[in-house]
Amino acid sequence: MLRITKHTHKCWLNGALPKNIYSQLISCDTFVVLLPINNLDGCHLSSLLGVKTDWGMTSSSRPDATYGPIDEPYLAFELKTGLPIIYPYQQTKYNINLPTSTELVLIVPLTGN
Amino acid sequence: MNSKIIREIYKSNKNFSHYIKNGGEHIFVFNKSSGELKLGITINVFRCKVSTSYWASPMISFPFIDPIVFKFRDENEDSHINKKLQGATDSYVQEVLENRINSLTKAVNELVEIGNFYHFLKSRLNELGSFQKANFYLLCYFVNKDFNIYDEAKEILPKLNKHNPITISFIDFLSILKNSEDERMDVFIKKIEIGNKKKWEDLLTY
Repeated sequence: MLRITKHTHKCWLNGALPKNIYSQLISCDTFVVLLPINNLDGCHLSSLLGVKTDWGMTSSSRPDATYGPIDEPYLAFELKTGLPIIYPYQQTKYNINLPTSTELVLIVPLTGN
Repeated sequence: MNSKIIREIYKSNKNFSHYIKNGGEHIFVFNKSSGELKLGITINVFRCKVSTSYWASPMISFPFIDPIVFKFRDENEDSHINKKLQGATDSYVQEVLENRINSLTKAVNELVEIGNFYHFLKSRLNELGSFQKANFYLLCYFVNKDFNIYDEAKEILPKLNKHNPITISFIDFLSILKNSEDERMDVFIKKIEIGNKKKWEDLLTY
């Protein structure tokens, strides 16, 4: 389990839906990654060819959340509520669009016990 | 927030010569922008908040889809403004944003000369993103005409997304620096400058 316990950077969440669902679930330890929600801000963050860009820019990628400096985050999160997989086309787009130093993390709900 | 307020602010402020709306982003172009350096401020309007910043785009910068090359934002100031704007009336929103724009305009006014802007960037080099650093080194060569920046500049290459056209141009730039090729560098920079000027002409006449 990856736990971010000491954080000096903000966590940026995209969109209202993930924020509502995940901030609740994350705060009650349901997810495999604990986001530092005390230092959280909503922001429309999209990335195109490694550069932060406007929301909705054609061909850009928009992770559900990021952690670290807004221009070049350390981590980008894909938050899954349905099937716990990332599709190959999505993975390829992330590979092309995220900054080189940003690691993509897939977050899926814990199931069973 | 009503976007009309932002247009009203633009109309009533004599410091800006152009207004560009790009999605939720409102771009004001500073009227003291020169042929070498475009400057201005941006206001991004989201559903429940705004963010403000000032920006600069030298004509000597690697070409990319986004015409704004350097953008500077004060998160604390924005968060302070957003607290003020919660539930505020339109006239109060306008007043708060006008005050913010005035303070950003003062910051922009300090950067009008390309030399001042270069020194400003140099003093903030650690805060710049990788692509901004690539653009800084290009500007650094343009201002100082010094091929010795090669060793410093090459350090950021691994941090650049290899799919980005800026990276491809930056590799060319590094190769010219490494070989200290005066003439090739002149052609390289001229080509970049012409491309950027054309892009800005198109943008401002659109």
